[in-house]
Amino acid sequence: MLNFPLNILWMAVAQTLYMIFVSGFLSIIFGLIFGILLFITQKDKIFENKIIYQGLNFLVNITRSIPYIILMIAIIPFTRLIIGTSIGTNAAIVSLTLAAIPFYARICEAALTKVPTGVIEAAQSMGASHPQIITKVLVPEALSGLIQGATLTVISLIGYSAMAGVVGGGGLGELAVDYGYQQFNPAVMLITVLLLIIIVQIVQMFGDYLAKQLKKVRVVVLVAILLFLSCIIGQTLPFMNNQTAVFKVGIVAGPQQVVMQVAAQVAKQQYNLNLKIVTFDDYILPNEALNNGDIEANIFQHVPYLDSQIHARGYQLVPIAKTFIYPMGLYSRKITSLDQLSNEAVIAIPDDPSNEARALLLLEKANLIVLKSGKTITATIYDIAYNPKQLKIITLDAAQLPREFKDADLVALTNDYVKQAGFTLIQALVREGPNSPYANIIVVRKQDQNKTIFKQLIAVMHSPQVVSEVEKLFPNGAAVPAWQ
Amino acid sequence: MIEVKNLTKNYDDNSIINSVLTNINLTIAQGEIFGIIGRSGAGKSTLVHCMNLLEKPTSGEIIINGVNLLDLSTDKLRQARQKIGMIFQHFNLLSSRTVFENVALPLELSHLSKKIIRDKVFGLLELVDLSQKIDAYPDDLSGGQKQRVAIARALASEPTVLLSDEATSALDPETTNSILKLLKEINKKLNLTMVIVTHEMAVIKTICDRVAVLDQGKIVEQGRVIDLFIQPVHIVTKKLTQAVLHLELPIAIRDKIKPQPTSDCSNPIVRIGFIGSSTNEPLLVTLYQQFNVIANIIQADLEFIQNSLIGVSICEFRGKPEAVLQALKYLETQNLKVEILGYA
Repeated sequence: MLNFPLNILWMAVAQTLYMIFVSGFLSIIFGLIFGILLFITQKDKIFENKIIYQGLNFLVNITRSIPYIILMIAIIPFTRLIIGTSIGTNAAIVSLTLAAIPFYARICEAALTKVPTGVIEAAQSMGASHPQIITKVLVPEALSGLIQGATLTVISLIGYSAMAGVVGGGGLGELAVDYGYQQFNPAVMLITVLLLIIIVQIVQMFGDYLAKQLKKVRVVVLVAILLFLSCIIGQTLPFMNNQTAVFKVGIVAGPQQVVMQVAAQVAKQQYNLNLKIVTFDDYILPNEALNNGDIEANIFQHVPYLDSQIHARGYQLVPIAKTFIYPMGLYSRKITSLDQLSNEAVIAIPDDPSNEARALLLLEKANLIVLKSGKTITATIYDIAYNPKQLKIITLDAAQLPREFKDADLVALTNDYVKQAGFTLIQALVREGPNSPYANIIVVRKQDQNKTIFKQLIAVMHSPQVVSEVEKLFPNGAAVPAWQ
Repeated sequence: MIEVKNLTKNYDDNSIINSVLTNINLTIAQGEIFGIIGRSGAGKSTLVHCMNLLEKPTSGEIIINGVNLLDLSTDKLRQARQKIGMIFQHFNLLSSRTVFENVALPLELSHLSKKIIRDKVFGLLELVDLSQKIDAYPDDLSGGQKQRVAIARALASEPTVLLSDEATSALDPETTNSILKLLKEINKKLNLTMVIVTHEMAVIKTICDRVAVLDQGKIVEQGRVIDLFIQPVHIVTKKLTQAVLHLELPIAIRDKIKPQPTSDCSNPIVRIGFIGSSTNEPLLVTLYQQFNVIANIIQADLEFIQNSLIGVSICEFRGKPEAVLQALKYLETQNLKVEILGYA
């Protein structure tokens, strides 16, 4: 059935609600302030100021034109400055808030524009000051529109929050991506999407109700402030947060999540070590977060990939142990041996640089292509020197590959996806040998490499419980312990 | 008391300077109801907006109760504005506030206590006869009721001046009259100086003491309302007063008359205006008996302008030319305003 622990689901619901509430609260407050400023500094308005208006206008346009996923990564230094870490739910809140503020500011500006000029004029003729005009006339008169805009903003935030998984933000969206998309669990995907639909419906209904019952806005604002304060207190008081010596390990969403749950149990039982598994949705951030000190170790990559990242970004990271080799293989539903491969056949391979090179090396090993001399773990499809069969090699997102067997003659799968594609390693037409450099490794910061706690982590990862869980998940030699 | 001295207002639109008001001078006495009339685009609304600096004049002085508003700091200007009430064509009530809350707004702005605000608002709503609508929202009120709320709101901070910018232009004639009646009452009760901007002569006729006629940003004529009706000088004034007095020559006659007498067109068409007791004289009988001149009435109207009866008639004088001249001279000695419109 669900094949999935329910408490994770409730946790995700709580995380989503928390993220949406805090980021919604903050973006509505700041959005309102900026929206009012945008309105009153316009030409012929009560506080006309060309410089402030054009500055704000520019800022809002810039922020609104950056795709959320890019914004989230671009502001990592800022996020670290504010909350001290770039991963987790609170980190996601920073980027959510920053993305939603300009959105709501524009909505406020539009809502305020609908207040008749004459009403503002009347207030001025009574001798109202600018703050009085704002609080007694502009905001109350535009309140209905402001609330509808706030509803829209919160609903957009629910959509954005689905991407929070990239920074380990958690929530329903991450659950849908990690378990539903990456691990091919359609039931989970369906349930999370249904829950998101329900949340959106409730928010919309509440917003519509409030836009008509303007006298109740005061009460709602008061409750929201109290709730927000309790969220802040809950986050800042350490005893509310049971942070007893948590040791954060970063991984990438996929079957590894199940393995790491077993590892966490072993660590707790044998070493009283609280492993906190931080799941990322991409391959860049786990190293970035480790280098920043947001996590203590990561287990998701092999040496060639780590080297390329160190080379590109200057990380001070080192591998301390190998875990498993997950041999890459070439699979097909159209042919049963490589001899049957026709000219101009389509071959799908992963698009992340290290797995792309890995797949090309495998194709070279199968004598299908020849790479330019000296090109190994940095090879790309442009480094093919000789392609006698004129094969069409296309690169795709790794998680997309298992879905491509109808269109591609040959698909290169990393082991994470073999099972989901319905294969076992034995069925691979070509596969990597045991001496592959692509064994997974445990990576830590250079200055930490001698800490004893990592000896415990290595022991946990090499423990019989973990090995048997891995073998259960990757049967028939699809995962080979690489440390022996 | 309001004094406007050498007021000029230009709009600078992409370095093309548009002159909206040119060299306006007005003196409005305490307790007076002063009308400003003109066609649309004449600048009358801009002028009244300048009187509380909602529009900033390009040059000139606005002196209200002895203080030049243009000399005031922002804070002092706000305080001064509290003593200058204003009402508008579209009422400009806050739709999110009830009648009570709308009237209370200026008092809230001055940070008065809830109790004082309550007492004042109740009093004001009684004054404008809206006590029964205290908790209604503006959307549930008729135009006349909305303007009553706006008047109560404008009076809340006990102003010495009330500016009215086309306050009855969105109302039907009956409601207009009731609002004007209310303004007149308030003027008497509170000795409030009022500036009434309108494009309707009927409004001026009903409540104003004096009036200035504005055309293309300039005052073309000003004086007592009665005088303007009896003897308008400027073409704009003539047209505006005619509209109220229903005094236009029938087209058939207008097309026939000549500006100068000729051999076959020698009968003058005469406009005669009179105030009060003059109307009681059997004028036409006298003309016939004394000068043997027949006055053939083409148009005539009698109007009460506030408490004075005024009459205007247009007659064709028939008789010997010398007799007609004598008759005209006689009329002028009788304190009548006589104007020859042409000859038929």
